[in-house]
Amino acid sequence: METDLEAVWGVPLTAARCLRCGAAHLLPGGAIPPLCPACLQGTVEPQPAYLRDEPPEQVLPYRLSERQLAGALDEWARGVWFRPAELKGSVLAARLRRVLLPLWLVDGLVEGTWRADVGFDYQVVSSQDAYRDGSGWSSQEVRETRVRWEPRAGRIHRRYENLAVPALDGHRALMARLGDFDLGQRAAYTPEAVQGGAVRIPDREPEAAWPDAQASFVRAAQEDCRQAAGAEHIRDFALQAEYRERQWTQMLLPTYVTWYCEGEQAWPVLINGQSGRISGTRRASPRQAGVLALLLGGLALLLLLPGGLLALAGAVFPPLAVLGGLLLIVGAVLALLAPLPVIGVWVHNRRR
Amino acid sequence: MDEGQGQEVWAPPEGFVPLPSRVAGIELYAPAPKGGPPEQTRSFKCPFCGGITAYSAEQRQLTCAHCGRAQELTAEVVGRAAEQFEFTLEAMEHARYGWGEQRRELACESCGAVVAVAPDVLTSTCAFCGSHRVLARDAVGDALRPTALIPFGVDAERCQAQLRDWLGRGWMHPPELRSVRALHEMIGIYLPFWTFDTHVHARWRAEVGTERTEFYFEGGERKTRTVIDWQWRSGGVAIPVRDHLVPGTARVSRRLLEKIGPFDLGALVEYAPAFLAGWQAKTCDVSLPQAWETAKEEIRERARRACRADTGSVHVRNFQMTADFADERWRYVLLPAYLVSYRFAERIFQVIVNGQTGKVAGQKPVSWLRVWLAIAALLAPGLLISLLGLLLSVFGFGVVLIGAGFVVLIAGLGGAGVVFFQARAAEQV
Repeated sequence: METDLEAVWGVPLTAARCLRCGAAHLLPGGAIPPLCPACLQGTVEPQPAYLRDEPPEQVLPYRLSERQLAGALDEWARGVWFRPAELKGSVLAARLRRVLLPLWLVDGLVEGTWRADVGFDYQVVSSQDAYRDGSGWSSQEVRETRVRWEPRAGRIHRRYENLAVPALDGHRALMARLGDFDLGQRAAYTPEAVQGGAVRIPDREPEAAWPDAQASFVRAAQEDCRQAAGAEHIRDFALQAEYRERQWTQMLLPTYVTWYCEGEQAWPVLINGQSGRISGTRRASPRQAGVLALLLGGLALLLLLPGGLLALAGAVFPPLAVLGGLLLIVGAVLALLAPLPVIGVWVHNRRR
Repeated sequence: MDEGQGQEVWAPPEGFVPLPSRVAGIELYAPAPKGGPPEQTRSFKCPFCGGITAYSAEQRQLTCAHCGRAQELTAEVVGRAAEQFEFTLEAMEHARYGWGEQRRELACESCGAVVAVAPDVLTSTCAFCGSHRVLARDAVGDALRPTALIPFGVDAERCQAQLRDWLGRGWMHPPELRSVRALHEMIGIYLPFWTFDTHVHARWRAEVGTERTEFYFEGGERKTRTVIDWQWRSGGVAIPVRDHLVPGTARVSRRLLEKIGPFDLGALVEYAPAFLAGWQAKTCDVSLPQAWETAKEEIRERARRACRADTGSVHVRNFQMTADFADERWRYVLLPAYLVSYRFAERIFQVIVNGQTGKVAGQKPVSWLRVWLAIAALLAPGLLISLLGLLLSVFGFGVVLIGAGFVVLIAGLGGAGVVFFQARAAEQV
């Protein structure tokens, strides 16, 4: 049955899906954006969404406003030769859109047994001695930290809450671009938190996200077992456990999306709404580079032609040969330099 | 993860014991520490007659002094693979400050008497009932206790014979030594030693000279001379050091201890109190850091000689080198020796016998009268021949004898020098 979004989320939202990438969003009111907030390539169309009958439990609030980001975007866009006309802080800031990314939070009770090698740091004393004729020996003490590994085993009966589990298929790639979020700043969900922004709908339901959730439980248990042993390191951790009383809720992460056009394509820029980290491709404009190359080539041609004629005239009046030679040299240098902007831009864009 | 594993049926792995956990909801088990409870003593009594037993060097087992029955010892021969330790900060601190000067009280299990012993004593014999008690092992994991030992392989009787033989040997010692009597019975004692392993990576740099013969003209004459071409060179030497032995006691002359060596460390067995039953044993009075400093000085000198040799020339100047010690490990072992002393001409002389091989070394008085007579005998032929030559030279044919006498005198002087320094060295042991 289709979810009554306004009743659940507390604000009027429209579910829509991108016809190109398939990403589903909840959009504020009836405002359908021209481009998909996820891929910025395809168009989105309203489609019914089958969602959980409860809103997200927690939201990570935006710490940076659109105005605060304008300066950072301007700084980020600088330093590119032949930068596209739209790669400007003002353009990027004007197109900023809030997009909230989903993250599953899972609670559960871990009951079972574990076994691991735990490592304790210890220091050993070594020596570096030096000898010199006339001075004799001098000795220097050197300390080196080593790890002593010892086996440990035991039982575990611990409850874990709010372990973060990816809700999107491309979660890890997104996080690599956006950087870490400080989940300690999270707050309870309020309808105001999603006003004016798009909310990405999870690609994966909890059942599909369970392998990742289980890995999160194992990581948390491993860390606790390390602390229980009073060790600095742990390895070869093996956990045989049951995971009871599982409970899934959702959290929303604050991000901004903006874009600039270069050629026929829109290039997305992602911003972490908490830390302000900007991630995107700063492309150079091949068109601008091409114009400069043509100008240089044309100028070279203009110099080479009279230079050649003057050089020929030098057979009749030798001083003209000198002038013609100079023009030919300058023209040749310009002709050699002409393709460099195009090559430079190609290399720059290829590297990115 | 497999689900459905019932925690009720789970039992900790074999040999694991519970440990306190720092996190609620997590139980912790670890392998039980090796060794027994700290400061345990063991008394040795015959299981058949209740008599006192002691380790017999002759039979290599525990024997009862009363009924003569023997008990097999099953300690593992670990040899050079005996447990070694790293130079951890903890061990070095512990070694530096030791166990303090407090005395320990060991209670005799046979008669209940309590005897105070010095902290460096590992064994004790009850003054009331004569039973032997041995400190089994100190606190669990305390590496600063011996971990291996070489059992006595030569009994006191054989040592006595070898001692008498040794005392009667050598012309430069008084003949009365053959009949001298020891001040007391031979004391079989396990002496503490430190062994060190390390790898030394030495790098050297020096100006190395190469000899070259060149021709030159002087006063129109072609001559040759040797010149040295100096060149900066560098190189490296890797020196593996295995079982570098340093005595753990300063109460016995190191020179004597070196003279009774080498010990065959391949015969090391794991420390077992039974080997000490009926014998004396001392803990070290030279601490680990002190012993390591001594070992390091010896090892780096060895490295310096190796680097010097690596230069490949006798002409070396501005020599400098570094020696990096790596993988340093140490071991604390007990090695067997017999100590005995005797009085001669109102002086006391110390003798030590290797308890594994029976090799004897010690102090022996030197009869300087014999030494001077020997020197005189060595010099006399040369002097007499020269004198005869002088006399005959009056008749005009003594020159040859004077020359021969001079040669014999030089040879005699050389021999006399050797005898003199041998006597000095024998006296200074």
